[in-house]
Order: sequence, then structure tokens, then C-alpha cells
Amino acid sequence: MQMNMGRPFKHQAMARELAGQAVQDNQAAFSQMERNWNIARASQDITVALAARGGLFEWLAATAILGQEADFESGAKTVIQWGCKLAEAFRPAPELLLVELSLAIRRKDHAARRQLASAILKSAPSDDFYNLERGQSQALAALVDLDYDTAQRHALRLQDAATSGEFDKGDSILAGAWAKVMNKLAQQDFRGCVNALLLSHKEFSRQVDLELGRLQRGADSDITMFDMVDWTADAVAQLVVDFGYKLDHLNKRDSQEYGF
Amino acid sequence: MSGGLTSYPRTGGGGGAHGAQIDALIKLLLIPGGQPLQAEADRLIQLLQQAVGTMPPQSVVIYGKRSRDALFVARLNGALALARHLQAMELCAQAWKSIHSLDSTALKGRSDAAKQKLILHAAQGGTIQELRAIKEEIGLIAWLYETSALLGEDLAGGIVAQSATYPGSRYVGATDTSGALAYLECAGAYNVNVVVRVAIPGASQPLLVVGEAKGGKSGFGFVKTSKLIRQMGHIAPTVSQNEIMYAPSRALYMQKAMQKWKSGMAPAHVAARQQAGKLIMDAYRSLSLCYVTVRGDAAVNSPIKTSRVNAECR
Repeated sequence: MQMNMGRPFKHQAMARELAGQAVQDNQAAFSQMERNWNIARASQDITVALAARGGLFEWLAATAILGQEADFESGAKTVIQWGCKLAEAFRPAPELLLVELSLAIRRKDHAARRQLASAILKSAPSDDFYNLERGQSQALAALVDLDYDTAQRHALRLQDAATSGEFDKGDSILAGAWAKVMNKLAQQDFRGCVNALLLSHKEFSRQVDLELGRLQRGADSDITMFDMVDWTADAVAQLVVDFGYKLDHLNKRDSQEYGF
Repeated sequence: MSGGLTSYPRTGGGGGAHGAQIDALIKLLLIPGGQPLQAEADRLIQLLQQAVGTMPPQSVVIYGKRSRDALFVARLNGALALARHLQAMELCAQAWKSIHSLDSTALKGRSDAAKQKLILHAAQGGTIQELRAIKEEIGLIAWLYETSALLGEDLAGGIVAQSATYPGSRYVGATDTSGALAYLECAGAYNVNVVVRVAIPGASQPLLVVGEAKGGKSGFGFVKTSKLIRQMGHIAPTVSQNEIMYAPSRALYMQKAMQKWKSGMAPAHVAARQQAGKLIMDAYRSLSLCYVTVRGDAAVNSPIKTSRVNAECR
């Protein structure tokens, strides 16, 4: 399956070079996850499991950037399975299940989708450390649950964050864009949702290219493979289709422009 | 796995009955196979704590190190839900410091030089920036002393003595006999401060000690939490230099240090920086990372005072 809505970055060559290294560097991720999971369960310490999962994410994102379809598919399946286990054994903050929920939506894994969405909606963390990924995961989970009022409420919270300055500059712009995406989808305005999604993905790519450009110039950047995949965008694109917006034959322009 | 340990006292090395019990537990912990050994590990720490009052400090250091090795091996074997090697290191540190003052270690030369600079600075009225640099050096000396204590060996007489400044940089580093990075003092931004790789007999991974040294009254800074760090469970919007997550947050920069260089063209310090970044990410994920923060300070004509602020392992 195509990720990042099928759109390469401006600095795609740099992205691919980093992805090649990340696949190498994270070869041990699957066995580490297995081992760390047992320790995490025994000690009831989720961070031990999350430490290894970071490597899984890097590996998976790298295969997405390289377009290694078969690896990505099997990796995504494994990541979803671990996500379901995490949701069951711990009560992770909503944002910690965003990738898994997004992948479950993309892969039409309905059982995982339901389980992850319900875990996200049940979690009620304090508002202190609110962040973009939390807003995305909560709105996405509500949409999966077909609870449009809750989805709109979460979209509104993201909109608040976009204007209040509680996020940094990059995430503030993205939060505003995502508030629109989620809000439109909650209102069943598919056309509006797709347009908002395009804008939000464009901003996402702009921010990634900014960091890749820094590396290209020899400056420092902490960008990761994980940062280079627009996990939620691909999930929303799938939801739009699932909800009955027939991009493929009703609107030729959509399928060409949006890559789905 | 007890090969190479024959020079350690078994019993009679000031250990007595305690020593024999400690030895027996160490033997158990070194058995591979992933059997849960938490009770044995907890008992070993208890015995070490009792040893502090009953054994001479030299023996506590020796048993502390051997216990650390066994507890680390057991942790990597998946036999321990809760890591205990750091506790063994802390007990070792306490004993080690009681027998080795800073001036009795190989750090004395470096410490004297820093103190001399401090005297000169006061006499000649140097700038704030110069004073800060001297305090930073004092911080690093303090870190090396406190970390030597945790490891039960004088780093300045070992790997640090073999280190050298990389040409054209302010990075200082050393490799082991196989050419792998074993020590690195980083310069500049987007880095951790110090990295020490310690080979542990029988362990599948080295113990990686990474740290931040603070000189004078300077406070610990904060950096922004990146998205991958958040997914690793650090939900707060910032990471403090005083917490373990600071190490991987810097490693994300360090591991890409060679990106702009064509293969084989990167200067040695850049290659070392990248290698250190990868070591840190690996160690964090494989639970072999130890993060240590230390403060050091000195007034003119007085000895350097050191204190360990935080020690965490994952």
C-alpha cells in the first residue's frame, strides 16, 4: 500500500538514503520487541516495550519510504498486533496508539480498528501534555466509532491548540489543518475533507523537506524515519473511501491528484 | 562465565560467610536460559548492602563489580523484570570513593591544571566566558570521578588516558583494540556530553554509560520532545538534560552526523559522533544504557567538589 498519499518529498533522494540506513540500523527491532515485551509485562513498565517499538516504527517507516511493499505489509501487521497487546496490557496515552490505529484503518483490519479506537476513547489523560498526535488519535478514534459529536469536539480542541500557542510553530499549523480535516469528515463533507487533507499533507511535506534540506546542507537535524510518514493522512484518505466517497470513478481528478 | 574472575577473592577476601553467599548468587544469575531470577537479584543487593557495614571497602568494590556484571548479564538474558545492576554500581561507588579521593586517581593532573587555571583567572581578572570554560572542565572532571566510582575503576588511568583530541576538532575519543569507539567527549551542540562503553564479560551488549556534566552552578537545560521520543513514552513537551531520555533525544542528531559527507570522507570526529549516536539508540532499546549526571565545582585554592545528581538505567 502506498503511504504519504503517494507523494514524494522534494528531497526524496535524501529521504531514501536515510531510509536505507534505517532499515540496516533497525534489523534487530523485531527480536528486541519480543524480548522487551516480556520484561515490560513482568515489570508492568510500558517504557521498556515502547523503547523497542521505537525501532519497529523506524524500520516500518523506512520500508514505506523505500516502497518495499511486502516488507511494509508484514511489518504493519506486526506493529498492529503489538499495538493491540499494548492497549490490552497497559493504559497507554491515546497518542501512543495513533500509528497502530492509522495502520489498522489502512489495512481494513476491523477488529484491531475497533479495539484500538475504543482504547483511545477510554483513555482520559490529563490535559497538561496535550499534543498534536493526541488530538489526531482522539478524533480519528471517534470517527471510527461513528461518534461525530465527539469527533467534532476533538477537532475543536485541536483548533484551540492551533491558535493558543500551546504547540510549537510547526505543530500549530498542522493542528489547524488537522482540525479542519477532522471537522469536515465529522460533518460528512467529504469533498471539504479531501481538500483540507491535501492542504494538511502539503504542510506536512513542507516541514519534512525543511529538515531534509538542513541535512542536505550539512546542518544538524533530529528528523527520524517516523517523522517522514504522514500516518494519519493515509488513514483519513481510507476512511473517506470507506464512508462512501467514491473518488475513483465519480471524480477522475481526485484519483489522479490524490493518489487514492 | 567465571573465567577471568579467578583473581577475585572467593571467600576469605574479607568477605566471610557473606562473600560465599554472594558468590553463590552470582553463579545462579549467570546461568543463561531466561528463568526468572528476580528474587536472587534482590537478595544479592540485600547482601551487598549488608556487606557495606561488615566488609572492608576494597572487598565491597570487588563484590560490587562482580555483582554488577552478573546482574547486567541476567537483565540482558531477560531473567530480571527489574534491573538491579545500577544498585550494585551505586554501592560500589560509595565504597570506591571512601578509598579513592579525586587527587589519588589519575585525574589529579587534570584537576590540578583546572585549579591552576582558576587561580590565574582570579588573579588576572579573566572574562565570564573563560570562567565558564574552566567550570565546564571541572564539571567533566567531576563526571569522570563519579563515573569511575560507579564502575569501580579509575577511568582516567584507563580508557581516558588512551584518548586523544580528534584533529581539527574539540572532540576527544578513544577506540578499543578492535577499533570500536570506547570513549567520547563531545563538543558543540546537539550532542550528549560524554560516552563510555564498558565491556561486560558474558553479556551480549556492552554497558553504555552516557552522561551530562555540569560545572559550577549552571542548571540543567531542556530540549523539545520530538515525535519519536514521544512515541517512546516521553509525553511531556520537553526533555531535561537530567533525565535518561535526553540521551536518545541527542542520539537522533548524532546518528546522522556523516550525512553530508561522501562515504569515507567524513573526518574522524564526525564518524565517532555518528557511531556514538548509534550506540546510544541501540543501548536504549536493548536496555543496556546507563545515564549519569554529575555536578562539579571548586573555589580558588580549594579542592574540586563532586556530586552525582542522577543515575538511571534502561
